[in-house]
Amino acid sequence: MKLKLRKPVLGALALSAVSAILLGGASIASAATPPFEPDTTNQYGQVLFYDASGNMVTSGSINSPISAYAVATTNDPNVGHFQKAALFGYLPVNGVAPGAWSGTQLSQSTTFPAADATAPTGHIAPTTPASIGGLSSDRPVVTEATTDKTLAQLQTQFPNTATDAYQGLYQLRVKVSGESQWWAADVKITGSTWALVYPSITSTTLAASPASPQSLATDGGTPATVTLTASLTASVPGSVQFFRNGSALGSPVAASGGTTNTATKTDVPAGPSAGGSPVTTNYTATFTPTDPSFISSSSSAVAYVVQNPAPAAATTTDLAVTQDGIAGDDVQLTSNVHNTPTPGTVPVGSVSWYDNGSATPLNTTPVAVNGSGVATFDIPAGLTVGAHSIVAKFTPTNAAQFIASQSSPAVFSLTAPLACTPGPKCDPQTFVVDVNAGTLTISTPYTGADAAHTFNLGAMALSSDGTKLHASAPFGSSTLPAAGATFAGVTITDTRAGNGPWTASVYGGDFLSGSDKINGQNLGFTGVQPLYIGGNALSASNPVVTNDVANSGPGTIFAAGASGTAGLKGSPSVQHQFATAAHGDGTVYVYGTMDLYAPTSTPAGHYTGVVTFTIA
Amino acid sequence: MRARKTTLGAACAAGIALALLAAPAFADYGPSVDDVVGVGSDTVQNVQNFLDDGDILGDSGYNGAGNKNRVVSFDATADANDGAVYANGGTIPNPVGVVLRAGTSPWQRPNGSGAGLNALKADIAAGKHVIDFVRGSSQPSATDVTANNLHVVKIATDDLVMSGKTGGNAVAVSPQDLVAIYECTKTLWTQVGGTSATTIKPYYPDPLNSGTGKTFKADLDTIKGSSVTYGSCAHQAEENDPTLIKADSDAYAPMSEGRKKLFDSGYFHNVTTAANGSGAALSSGITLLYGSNTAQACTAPTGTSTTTYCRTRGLYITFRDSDSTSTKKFQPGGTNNWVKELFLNASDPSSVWVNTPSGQSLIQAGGADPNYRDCLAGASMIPNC
Repeated sequence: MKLKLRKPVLGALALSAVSAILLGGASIASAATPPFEPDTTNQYGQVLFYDASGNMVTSGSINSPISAYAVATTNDPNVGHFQKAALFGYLPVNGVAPGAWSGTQLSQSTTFPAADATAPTGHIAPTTPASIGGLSSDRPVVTEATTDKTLAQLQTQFPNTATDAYQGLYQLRVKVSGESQWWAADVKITGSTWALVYPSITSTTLAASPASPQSLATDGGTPATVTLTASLTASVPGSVQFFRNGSALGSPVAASGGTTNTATKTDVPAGPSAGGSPVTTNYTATFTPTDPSFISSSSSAVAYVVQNPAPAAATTTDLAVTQDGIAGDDVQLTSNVHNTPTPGTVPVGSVSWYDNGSATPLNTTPVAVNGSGVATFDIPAGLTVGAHSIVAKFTPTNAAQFIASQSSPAVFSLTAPLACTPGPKCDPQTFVVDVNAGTLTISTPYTGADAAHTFNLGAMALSSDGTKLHASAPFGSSTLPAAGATFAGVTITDTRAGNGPWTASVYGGDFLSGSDKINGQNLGFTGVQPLYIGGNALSASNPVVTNDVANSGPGTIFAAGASGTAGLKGSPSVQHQFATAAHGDGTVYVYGTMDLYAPTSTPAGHYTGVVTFTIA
Repeated sequence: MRARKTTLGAACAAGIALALLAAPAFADYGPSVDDVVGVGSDTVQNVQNFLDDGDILGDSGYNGAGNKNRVVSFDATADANDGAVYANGGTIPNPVGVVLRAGTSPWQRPNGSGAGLNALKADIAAGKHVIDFVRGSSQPSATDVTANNLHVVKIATDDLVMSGKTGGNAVAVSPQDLVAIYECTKTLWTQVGGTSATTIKPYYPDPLNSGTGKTFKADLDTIKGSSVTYGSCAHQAEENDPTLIKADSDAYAPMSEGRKKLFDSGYFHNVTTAANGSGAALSSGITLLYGSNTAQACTAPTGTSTTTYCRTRGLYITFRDSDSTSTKKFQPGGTNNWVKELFLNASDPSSVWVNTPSGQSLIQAGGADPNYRDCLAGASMIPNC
């Protein structure tokens, strides 16, 4: 069997496999330069490390591959050199020439240019390439693999027992086969981590002010000048070349030096024409230290966007009024202004309040909307007596940004305050009066105590066809009783406070004569009408509404014992309304006709029934 | 480090041999006592050279680290193109000398696995430590390993296949016909399935000193079922050297598949051109006759198999077992002795150079197939490791 081995390549190695710490934008303080550096005798240049995403790696775990790529900082000067390079690790020994240090090969020999399209951060002189793989074919690059030896393995194979300035140091070399010189980087191992100590890495971070995006004041207007500030590794002198869309922006600018090491440049970015889409200008900066032992660095690109002003956003304004109804007392006005399309963005502007359509606002100075969208105005002196209708109006600071709006009117009335302030010449007195609860009564003269107080329907007459018995009698009349006399119908009197409504009802039982009976359903109260008393509150303009409670005769005559609640037959829970009033104060009479049928089978006798009038 | 002899002389076609006159070596590197010296197999020499010094593709070898102490593997052949040095008109390589350590007299250059192993055994018997390891294309016997307290690791495999001149008369034959050819009972190609009525000219590697020769002879014995005696029509020649084969349409010899690959890779160049880099790449000029084997998957020969001869054999490194436990560190400041560094580290097998991805890549570049294994289980040799 033939065993075919393939080289696992780290170029596509997942980032997680490289547990290295990436170079961030923060300033990197370089450790002390190793005593054997710079070594221009043996070194063509230095080595920089990058992860698979192109981020520069300056420290990490010794138990993982160092990086995805080890990149030489200069080209191989040898004609006809191999297109392969490998990464080696060595143990520096004090007093021993670097060429005599012991070491081991960490990576496989890999072909360069690397098969890679990763855009590296930082600066790989002379320019930052679009990709590591895009470097010159003379630039050695080692593509590391997961199977490469780690620094931990190097440390095991060649322990560093130094206690001097060599303590913890190892040198990593990129070597091209057959060549006696190399590119090198020095790392220091502390515990389970390593950190680059040589070459010294610089950092460049670029910022633009005003911040992107910049909105033009007018559509298609001229962009404001942008100030570019490159923040550099502290205390490293040098110069900064700014770039605009990849082209040099003027001449290099000297770094300020010091702990806050910066360089600045101004530029007017490109902007859109009227109605045009936003335009992006890419700025970068490259820091070139004066001291060549520091590696130059380039910033990440700042994509600066200039855009036409956005359409004004609609707003809404509401209003809440706090007042006690008294003219002259404190009135507080509170308005909220809302951004309709983007509620999270508070409209910028002011609010004024207008009363009763006045063109002059209540507030002499517009009140700015605060960060929560609220504007308030307090009127300690209050407002005048009478009706008020206040409207809050929002006026944006920038009409191109927000649209004005106003609230619905807040309507209220204020009454006059006391005429004077109580004192020696003004003595307000306290008066009281009671309004009685009053009563609501209903009555008839027929209390049943004697014949004079009994309503008599008389003798029931046999109909001419001999099929029924019938009796009928007026229950009151349309004539007012004489002074002092009692009305023969229903008398209702309402003296209750509040002039409330009332409803009058009636119900009755069967007529009995011994064990004989006439079904109460055969009794009806018809022709029911009010009889108003002149000068009384209850009148045609404040009417009592009546209705009949008729029986079913002569068509239907209920036999004794037949169940039901027709006619006046009922109970306290089944009453029959016959009169109502919406505003019932006063006295009114109600009259009508009591009408009774009975079947011819009814035995002779003196029948008595009870009819109850109620009002509520 | 690859170390070989500088040979002088003129090529002279005389019969079947490329005749060169041997001359003393002058330019070999003289290894120090702290360097590691290897000798032995012709088949394995390029693989080991690449492992030590890198290949022509720019892959670095062990010595590429530039360490103080180096690995020096002396070729079996005197010619860097893997060619042997023959007496005028001869086919058996002439012995040539080699200085294995600085400040020592020349020894006979061990040519082959067996010669290398014998040299190591002699070194041990003499109480010296001139040779550190032996390259082998056959596995040392358990007897030798035990008697000399040796240790063996397999680093790769390689196929041994019959070969003939490209476009020549040689054909793939049955195992039984292969025995007949080498016993000279069948001497014409037409007797073994060929179309040419010409006489077969079989060559065989040194059956005593060459691992390839031992393997081939043992396989012929297996096929026959008894010991094969090479007939008078068969001649000994340097193993894996295509020079004789490509010069004669009737020549027939076993050939290392790895060596053939190395030729095809353009590694070897015409050294008759002055050393200005313009020498054309050499082609082997031969064809491997896989016959009924498919996809170059060899089947071990048996007495009854009719499958065309093709043998997959291991490529081995043999050294003193005591060196694997030596406290002498190979490199200054290092923790490994040379065995742990290069060939065997029981606690971390993946860290030894031949078993790293770089080492295996170099083995492949040398034409072999990486296949790493410790051939000792305890103190016992693993058969057919």
